[in-house]
Amino acid sequence: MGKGHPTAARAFVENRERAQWHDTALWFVREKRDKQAASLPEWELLRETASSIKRHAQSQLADYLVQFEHAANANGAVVHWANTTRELNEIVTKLLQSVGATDVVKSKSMLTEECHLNEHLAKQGIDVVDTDLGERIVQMRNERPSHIVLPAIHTKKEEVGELFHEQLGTEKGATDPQYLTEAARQHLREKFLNADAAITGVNFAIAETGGIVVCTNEGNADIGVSLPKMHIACMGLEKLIPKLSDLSVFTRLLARSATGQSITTYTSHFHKPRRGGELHVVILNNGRTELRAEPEIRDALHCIRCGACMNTCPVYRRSGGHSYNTTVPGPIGSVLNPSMDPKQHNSLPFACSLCGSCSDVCPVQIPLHHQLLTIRHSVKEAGGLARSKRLSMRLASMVFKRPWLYKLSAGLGKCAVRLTPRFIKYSRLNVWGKGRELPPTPRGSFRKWYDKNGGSRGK
Amino acid sequence: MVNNSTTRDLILDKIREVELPRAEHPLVDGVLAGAIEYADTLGTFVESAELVGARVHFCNTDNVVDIWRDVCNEFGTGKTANVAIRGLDDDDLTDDNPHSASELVVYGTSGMLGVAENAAIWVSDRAIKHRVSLCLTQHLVLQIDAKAIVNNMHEAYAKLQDVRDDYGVFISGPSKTADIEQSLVIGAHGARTLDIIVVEG
Repeated sequence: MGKGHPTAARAFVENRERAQWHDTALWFVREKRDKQAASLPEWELLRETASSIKRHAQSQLADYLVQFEHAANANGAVVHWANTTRELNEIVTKLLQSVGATDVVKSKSMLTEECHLNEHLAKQGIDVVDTDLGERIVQMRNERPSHIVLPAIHTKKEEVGELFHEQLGTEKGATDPQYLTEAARQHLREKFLNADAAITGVNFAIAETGGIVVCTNEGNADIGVSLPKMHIACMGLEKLIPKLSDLSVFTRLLARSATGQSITTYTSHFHKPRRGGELHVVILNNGRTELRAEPEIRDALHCIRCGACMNTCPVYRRSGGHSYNTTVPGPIGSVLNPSMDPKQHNSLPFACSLCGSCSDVCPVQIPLHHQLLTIRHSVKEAGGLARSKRLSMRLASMVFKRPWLYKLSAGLGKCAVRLTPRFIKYSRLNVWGKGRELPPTPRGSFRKWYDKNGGSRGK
Repeated sequence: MVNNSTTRDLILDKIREVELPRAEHPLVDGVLAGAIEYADTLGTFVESAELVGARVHFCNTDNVVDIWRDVCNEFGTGKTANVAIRGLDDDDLTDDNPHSASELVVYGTSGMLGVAENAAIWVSDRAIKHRVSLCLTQHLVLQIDAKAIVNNMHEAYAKLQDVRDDYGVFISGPSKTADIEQSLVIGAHGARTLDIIVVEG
């Protein structure tokens, strides 16, 4: 079993000031998202439509994949299939070796993170430079992204300044984002101009036209793929949408949900390779077909990787993306990862208050908090609950099933809370007492208030 | 070595093994009924463009060349591939190597359509020698016909349905990033500025 979320989150949570700063930064993004959503009267209709398109695409996925392959081939692109991450890594390696590539630029792709492609290529003597600024920062720090849209959201500008001073020779102590971004621009221009090949992710693949769409704000995907001869695009098989016109729905939702922009700066549609170049599309399964077979979980494959569920999640905001130990963290990660590898990730569905905010903001209406609850049940069935949780849940269940016992324990509990000395109340046995204070116990009770205010009248 | 046709069939079989409930595509002919329309489409486009950090200039067919010259002069001299003055049909980059575009200071071309809700302008590689010019130039200038501005992305994709560009991109504003502490910085990897020239009448 992997290190559980509470353990992995400890260091982050203990630095209160930083956790607060992280929380505020993400809430700022969430608020920008709200403003954008409110600017469109048809917002809910868009979400519903997006969800229906994805459900339709999933229901005829095999046909659409074949249609995509034919159309892409007709455009002069080459489609490759990988059932496992190992297969994807092998395909990409062979392609790169076929043009003798040693220096590769890559734009943001969570899928290649999922495959640990960079590490694999490094072993073959191929150097991959991540060109998205946030991804470049985490790559230089030897970390992994902590957020799928804002990879370096956990990093402070002072740390970026120090990192750039050491590795890019910027002035010591410089922390101005404008200055640091300019330094990265110069550094990465060199990398772009010297690259032998480029790798990108895929936001959407269009069955009808055989094209792929990549969305960025920085322009790094477009520069990366248009200079060298070879462009390799890596995608999960769930990225498929039936028609070109479906993009109108998804491009309206994606950036609004992700960063609160009305659209990304560049929404690039690649149908044919550049003059004299090659375009390869690698389609990965890696457990997605198994996920598709799970009726309660399969809607998670509709995800368009906007990150809105992370920005709104009270647990994610306060525990940081690295505490999930996964490529995709947050609510959607807590659904996807335990479904694909329950042993490793079974603490994640419990890193959730079931507040349901993730489901409310999801642009494709994935019922995330329901899914998290479903997975909790499976973890329990598989005997994966910690003993403390098992016992307390059994006790709670016993009490809640019996109104008289509930009434008695509520009264007793109130006295107990008031009378128990602190050192016992907040002892090591009470994991919920860590970093939390119980509110002062009220004099009356809801039951008394209800009776007094005529709650049972008319019964 | 991965035997690709076997892997392909294996994956397709795994999908076909699990039949999902029938689900209809929700849109007929790609139309979303009730999508936003603006009373002043052009005005909204300009507002959106300024919000994403672009500058908008207005002109008519008589003085479009002057406007281009003014905008380009502002960025000083340097290698400029300024296609608009030549009639927007082809750019004047002669080098077959796309790396030559790294010298560009100002690059200009025309967009096929603009979208009011987000200031996105569709630019394809039809009139462009190297796709990379759009992003590799320091400053980008896009010309667009006022009549080619639509309300929303649904109207935009309806116009693109039969176009089938080899490469096309919606560009909304200059390149940007907020990857350092959510501070917005204009000028990430792509163009540092975007000037939009709207031709009316």
